[in-house]
Amino acid sequence: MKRYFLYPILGLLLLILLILFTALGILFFRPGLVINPGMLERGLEKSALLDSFSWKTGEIIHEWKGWNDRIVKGRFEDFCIDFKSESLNAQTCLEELSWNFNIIFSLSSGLEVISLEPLKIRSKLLRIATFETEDKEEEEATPPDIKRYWSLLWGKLIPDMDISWDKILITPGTSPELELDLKLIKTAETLNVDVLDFNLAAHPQGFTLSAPPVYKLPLEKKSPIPLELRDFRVVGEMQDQGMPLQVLGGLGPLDIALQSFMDLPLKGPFTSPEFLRAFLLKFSGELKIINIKQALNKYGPENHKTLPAPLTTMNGSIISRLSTRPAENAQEVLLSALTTLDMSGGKQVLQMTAGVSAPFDVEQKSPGEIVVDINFKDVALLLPRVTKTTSPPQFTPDSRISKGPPQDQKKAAPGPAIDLRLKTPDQSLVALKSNLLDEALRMSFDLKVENGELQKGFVKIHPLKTTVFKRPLEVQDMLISFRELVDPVIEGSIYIPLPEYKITMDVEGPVGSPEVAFRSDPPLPQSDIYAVLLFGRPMADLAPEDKNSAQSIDQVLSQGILSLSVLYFLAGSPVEYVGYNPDSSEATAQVGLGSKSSLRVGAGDKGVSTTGVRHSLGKGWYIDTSVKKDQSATRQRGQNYGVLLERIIAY
Amino acid sequence: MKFSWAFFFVFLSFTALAKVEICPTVIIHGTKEFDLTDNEKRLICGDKKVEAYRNIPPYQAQFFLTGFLQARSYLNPEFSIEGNILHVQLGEKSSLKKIIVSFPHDKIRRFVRKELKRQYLKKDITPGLLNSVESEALSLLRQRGFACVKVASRLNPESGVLNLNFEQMGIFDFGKIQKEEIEGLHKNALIRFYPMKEDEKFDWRLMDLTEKRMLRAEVVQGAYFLEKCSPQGDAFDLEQKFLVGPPRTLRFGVGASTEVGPLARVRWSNNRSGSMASTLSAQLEGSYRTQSFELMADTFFWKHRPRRSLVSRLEVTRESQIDYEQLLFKTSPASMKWTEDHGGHHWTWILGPSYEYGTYHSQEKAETRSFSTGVLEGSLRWTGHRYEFFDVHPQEGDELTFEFGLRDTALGFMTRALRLDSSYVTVKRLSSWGRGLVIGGLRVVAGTTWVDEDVDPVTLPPLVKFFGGGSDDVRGFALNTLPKADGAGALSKFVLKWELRRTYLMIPTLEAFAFFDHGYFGEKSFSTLPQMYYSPGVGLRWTSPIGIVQAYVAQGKSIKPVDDFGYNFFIGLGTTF
Repeated sequence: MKRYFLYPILGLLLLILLILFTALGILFFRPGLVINPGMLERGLEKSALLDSFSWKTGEIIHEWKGWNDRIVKGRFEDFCIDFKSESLNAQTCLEELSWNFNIIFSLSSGLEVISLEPLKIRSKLLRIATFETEDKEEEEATPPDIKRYWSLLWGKLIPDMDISWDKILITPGTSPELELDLKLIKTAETLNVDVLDFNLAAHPQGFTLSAPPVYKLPLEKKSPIPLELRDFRVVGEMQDQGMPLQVLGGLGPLDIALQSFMDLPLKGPFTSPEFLRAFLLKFSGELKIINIKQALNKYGPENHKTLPAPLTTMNGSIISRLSTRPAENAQEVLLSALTTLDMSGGKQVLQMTAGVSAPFDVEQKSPGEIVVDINFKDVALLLPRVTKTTSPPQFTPDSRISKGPPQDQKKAAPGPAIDLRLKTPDQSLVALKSNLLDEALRMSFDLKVENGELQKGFVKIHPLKTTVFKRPLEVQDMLISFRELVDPVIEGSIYIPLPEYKITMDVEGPVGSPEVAFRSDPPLPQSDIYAVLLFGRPMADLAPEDKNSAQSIDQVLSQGILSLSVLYFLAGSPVEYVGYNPDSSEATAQVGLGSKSSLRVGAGDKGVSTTGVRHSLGKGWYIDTSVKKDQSATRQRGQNYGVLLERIIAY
Repeated sequence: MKFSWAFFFVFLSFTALAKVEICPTVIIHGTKEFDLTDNEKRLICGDKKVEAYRNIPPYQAQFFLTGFLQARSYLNPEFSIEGNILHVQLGEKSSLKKIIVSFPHDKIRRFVRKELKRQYLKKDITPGLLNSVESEALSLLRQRGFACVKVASRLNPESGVLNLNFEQMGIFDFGKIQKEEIEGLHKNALIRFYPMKEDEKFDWRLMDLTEKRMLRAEVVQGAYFLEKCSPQGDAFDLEQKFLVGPPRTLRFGVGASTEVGPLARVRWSNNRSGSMASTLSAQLEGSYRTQSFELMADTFFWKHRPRRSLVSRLEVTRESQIDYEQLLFKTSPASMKWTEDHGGHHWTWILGPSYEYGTYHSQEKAETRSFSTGVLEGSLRWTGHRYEFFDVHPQEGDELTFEFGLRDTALGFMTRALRLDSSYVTVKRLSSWGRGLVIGGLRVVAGTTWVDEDVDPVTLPPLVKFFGGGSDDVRGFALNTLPKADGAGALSKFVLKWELRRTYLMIPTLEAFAFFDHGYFGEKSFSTLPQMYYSPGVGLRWTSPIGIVQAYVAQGKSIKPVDDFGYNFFIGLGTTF
């Protein structure tokens, strides 16, 4: 390089530096030359940052206290701005804008702003309108650094503030306009913000967000219940590694007590699996409905303000605790909720817990198999009173009858699998009280349901002594077992102590068509024990008032539809009722004709059954008119019919 | 005309205004009469006696009432709640107007739809009816190998259209049945009761038949199958369990029979003797007409031939009929018996020697005669599974019975005589008639005793001769009064019986029938006389709890020569067509 080029360039650089230092010197010693309302006006005009602006009067004053110590104060009156962009419009007039700061610089502390007077803003109105842009591209969320922002807020450069907007009108797109007010007072150690009736009280170590004592949530269209927050507050504590958050308060009419603890991480992308996992793992909460009956009665949907029978006489609470914990799979978090229902009243109790747990895949952001574990701890419920002389009604509407289009389960969106387990814990029983039984029907069960289908488990009916149709009866260990892919199987025995015979009925087989075998003491063959269970005296001997029942019996008998299931009902004394629905071919019989007559009839369907009547004369003697079919190939072709007085013993 | 329209509108207005107050909180509109059971009323109106059910909220009453109305075919009610009162517009009853069966096999789909339409179309719709339709559809499909098929029905209450959708439509064989072991019994002991084979297509009726056979034989007190289908319906397994009761029974009694009059009977049996569940029995029976004592053993010696047995029988019988009397001692020490299930039929063969000693006399030959002879006897019975499925009164299927008995002078009989007797019956469902069926039946009975031409039939004992007449023969004639009411009997017989039934006559268990029976008898072997005895008739059968009760009236006539024997009216227990 030629040297004669070097000198002019160095000279130019020196000149630039000289100008720069001169400017800085002027700015340093006489900042009012640059920072003043006029320059501000020109700067705003040149930058086109604002669509329009104006002020009535304005001044900015600089005071020299030392080379590193200045006072800057300013005051504007009716400072109006109008900002417009593609997504936001904002208009406001600040009736008062003033500040008085002492700006100090030291090598040890750096730049520092001391508020002699806070930044004061007084305005009556702020209008904000937001718009949705068409070509809105999803931007990747910038990981916020809450800790940094929080530190910045309490840093030396943020002055004290006293800001007040009487009215802020926000029009978010096409949504209805929101109206609120804002008062913000910040000092070096405190921040107090009032928006509507919410209050945020903060200090460098944390904050408290308080809702008004009663705050009605704007959810009229989404919730049938007018929800309102009561004594709601969120308390956060700023720590080095996180921000433990405590949510406290009550949710309106249902008396739901909110108490949630979560430890928010202060740094990292909110949408990342890591953040989501960390967030979920630190989440816990509790929901309480203290008074179910009152809440429903006061705020329940129209026409649903009371509990259904038999719960009408009961009241209690529901408490649900939500928690999370790490799952075995690193990309999953196990969400769990334990809900306790505790209701009682009117000699009824309903205590149960429902544990719900589900792994949540933070990568896929979807739940896995949901496991619902319902434990019936203490249940004693009354069944509706049923008249013995009529068959029970159809309690629930038949879901097959529906006006809607047929459900195509295959086309339905697959939801998460649900694994439901219903059980009674050890020593716990579900007791159902019915007017048909002398004692409560007590049962325990453990049932596993997967995707709506009962997979395995059992229902055990505990020993029960009762009198049905004036006959004593003891249920002994009745067990219904459910196995995967196989029809449920019933196994158990019922003991019927009759005057002349002690009969035990063993039931075993598929629930839909169980095999029933009888044992008796003294012993009788099974087919003949049927007889002992039935009629007490012949039709002809019935009292006149029993004739109607007898005619019903005739009808039932003529249909050939008496089956074993009916035999028991025929075993009582005296005749009470026999009903038959020819359309459904269902017989309901509640008959007792004494202890010495009996009937033996097989289930009748299209003439395939054996039938017969056996009339007991006592001491094991019967009159038998049953059909006997010859088993031998060489015998006569016909069948043998007769009336036989028989004494039968099996051994 | 104007008056008529006015009247019509007034009538409509009154109908619309009609209402029934079930209770102060439930009002049903659009009808003047509507009633619920006491149970139902308590569930929708409340139960004053039970605190927990004293007040029923209207929404709960609506829930219950929806089900109650469905049970009464009111499927389109409209509910409204005013204050604490539930108002119900009842609407019209719904009936089944169309059944849509979705099934991939066209032939089966058409068959199922046709059968369901026949039974259920135009009936009032209730949940019970839907149950019946589903049950019948499953029954029809599970007869055809669709062991795991599942059905889901959906009914549109406004249109009355029922959609039936099926899943898991794989066709399966029975496969190997996992049987529960019975203590003391060999694993092959019960094989003889199974009508199906492993490679046979699944049919639920054959499982039912297995259970029936075991119960009829009293070998166990109960038996049941457990079916296991994979979730996808692509695998099927069958398991069988038993309820084992005591094997022996002792019964004794006195009574009367429609065929033999007063009777007394003592019977002992062991139906599960030994490891192969053999049968031992002894019976002593006496009536005014017959007296008998019988010992019988059906012994299954061969563990690996479980369908083969040795039948031993000893029998003493005295028969005192109107026109003849016979005393018979008979022993069959060892007859071989085989059974087999093949081609939808149960086969039974019996073959073995017997010894008979008897005395007899009749109106024709008052002199008492006696005989002592050895007999070679055999029989074949061929019973369709469908026929066997019915215990009392078969509605379909067929059965063939053939028996022979060879007596000879070399064995001690008075002459050489080969008695051949056969019977074939077939019953078929011809069509439907309302809710019932039209069933046709045909029975052919053919028999002859082959003897030398010079043998006078009158001299032969009744057990080698044929008689006719009676409720299970030519029905226009009294029992055993054909060909002549003199006890002489005949050496040949050929009877054809035609019957047409209509089931479900007003009630499911009543059927009407018309018949035409005709028969020929002959005094010589393999030939019958030209005289044809015939009897047209009509009757009713009722499946009563004590068995089939039938009553009929038939006219006994003959041609060549023409003769009229008058009307024969019969009412009694039992029926054998």
